[in-house]
Order: sequence, then C-alpha cells, then structure tokens
Amino acid sequence: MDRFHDNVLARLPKAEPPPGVDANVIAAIRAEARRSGMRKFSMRALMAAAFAAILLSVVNFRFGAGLNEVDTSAIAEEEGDIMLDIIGLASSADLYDVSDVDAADGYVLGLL
Amino acid sequence: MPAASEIDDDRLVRLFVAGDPSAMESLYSKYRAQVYSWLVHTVGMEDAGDVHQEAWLRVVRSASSYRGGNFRAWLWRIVRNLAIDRSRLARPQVSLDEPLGGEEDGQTALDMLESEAAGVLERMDERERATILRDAIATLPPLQKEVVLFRVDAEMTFAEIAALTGTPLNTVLGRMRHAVKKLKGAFERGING
Repeated sequence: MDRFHDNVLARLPKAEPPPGVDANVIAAIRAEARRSGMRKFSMRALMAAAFAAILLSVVNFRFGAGLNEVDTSAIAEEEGDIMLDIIGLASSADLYDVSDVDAADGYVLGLL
Repeated sequence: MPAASEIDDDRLVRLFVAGDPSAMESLYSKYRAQVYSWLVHTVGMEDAGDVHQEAWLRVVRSASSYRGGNFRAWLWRIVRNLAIDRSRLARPQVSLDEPLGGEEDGQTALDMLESEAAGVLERMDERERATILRDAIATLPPLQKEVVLFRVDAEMTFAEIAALTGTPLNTVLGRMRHAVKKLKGAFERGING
C-alpha cells in the first residue's frame, strides 16, 4: 500500500484553482482585513472617547466642586463684610442698636 | 505539542485578525491547491470553484473566532462541511462496486475501467495515467473515496483523517487498504497490458 501510495497516489497532480477563483478569494481576504482593521480602529477610537469622557467628567467634578466651594464662601464672606460694614455704619451714626441687624438692614435700605 | 507549521499557521491567523492581509494570503497560498483539488474530486469540477470560495470566505470571516491549535484541522472541517452540504444536493455518483447494466450483467465500473485501461495505459503519458487514476478514485465507494482524497489531495495523516471524520483509525486504515487494492489492480493491470 505504501509503495503504491508513494509511487503513484502521492504523485498525482493536484487541480489548481482557476485565476478568477484565486482573485475572488484574495479580494475577500483583503476586504476582510480592511474591515478588521477598521473594527480595530473604531474600537480604539471608542475606547479613547470613553476614556476622555470619564477623564473630563472627573476633572469637571473636581474643578467644578472647587469653584462652587470658593464661590459660595466668597459670597458668604462678602455678604458678611457688607453686613458688618452696615452695622458699623449704623452704629457709628448712633441711629440703631448695633445688635439689631434687622434695623441696620432697614437703615441701609432707607439710604438706598 | 503542536507542530512548527501549526504554530506558524496560528501566528498567521493572528496577524490577519490584526489587519494584515498578507498573512491570510500566505495561508491561502499554502492550502489553495489542496483544498481545490480535494473539492474537484469530491463535489465535482462544476461546484468546486463555488465551494472553494465559500470555504475561504468562511475562513476569513471567522478567523477572529479561531482559538488556535490546529488551523489545518479547522480549515478542513469547514471545507468538508460545505462539501457535504453541496453533495447532498448533487447526484449520487456511480460506485466501482455497483453493477453498471443491472443485476444480470454483473460488470462493475471497476471491471470496465480495468478492461478499458488494459493495453492503453502504457501508451499514455503521466498526465493521462493520472486522469485514469482520478477517474478510478471518483468511482470508489464514498467512504473509501473520502479517505483516499484526504490522503492524496489534503495530504493528511490517517490519524488526522480519523479525527476529522470521527472514524476509528483502524476503520480508516481498512478503507484505505480496500481502496488502494482496487486502484492498484486497475492501474497495474492497465499499465502491464
């Protein structure tokens, strides 16, 4: 069996695919490789976009929260200063009791 | 442990999946003649081109799902399944063992082949002899023919054929032995006149 196989069967020529068949397969291979490359690129782009969005939201959260804290305290501080000024003004003018903040407020409104 | 060529095949598949078309073109170049030749003698010349293209399309489209290990076995599973699907639609071929002209005639395709081949084969060149042998293979019983074609065209080992077809190794060897006996008889008698 082996001798017949080696001498006769193994030497049987193989049929070659026609050029058109080869061309179609090669075209399909190249098209699929392009698609595969595009899929990979899209996946990378998607991942990069997702990462950027997460990074942005983290930065925004931290930065935004910081701003809010500063703004809030600054406004409160400013309001406090104004109130103290008003009270001081009212007090110096001996118009109202310095402890009466509402009265001082009314005085300022009267000035306006 | 996988053979070096299988490692190379796996590496080429990975490169292709990463977007390198030349990697799959190398694999195609390596197996194209085996696959096409096997298909020509399994599903016929008329359908071989279509099935060949369809098989390779499946290979390239499902390459990303290939898990590695044995590309050749994976490729041949795809090719064989498509060939089986196509053969279900095709006309049954004449077997060497079946009588040609009814029960009373008794002459089989093999008998006719041998008698026709006798005396003319020695005047034929190698290509013509190959044609005679191919014709003889074509008329073998399907299970014997399958083993012969996997051995001759796909260049598989008997163990690989057994694994692919889900047949015990001894059965595969037995089928090959019977097939070769028939082919050898037809061929040698033809050559010796």
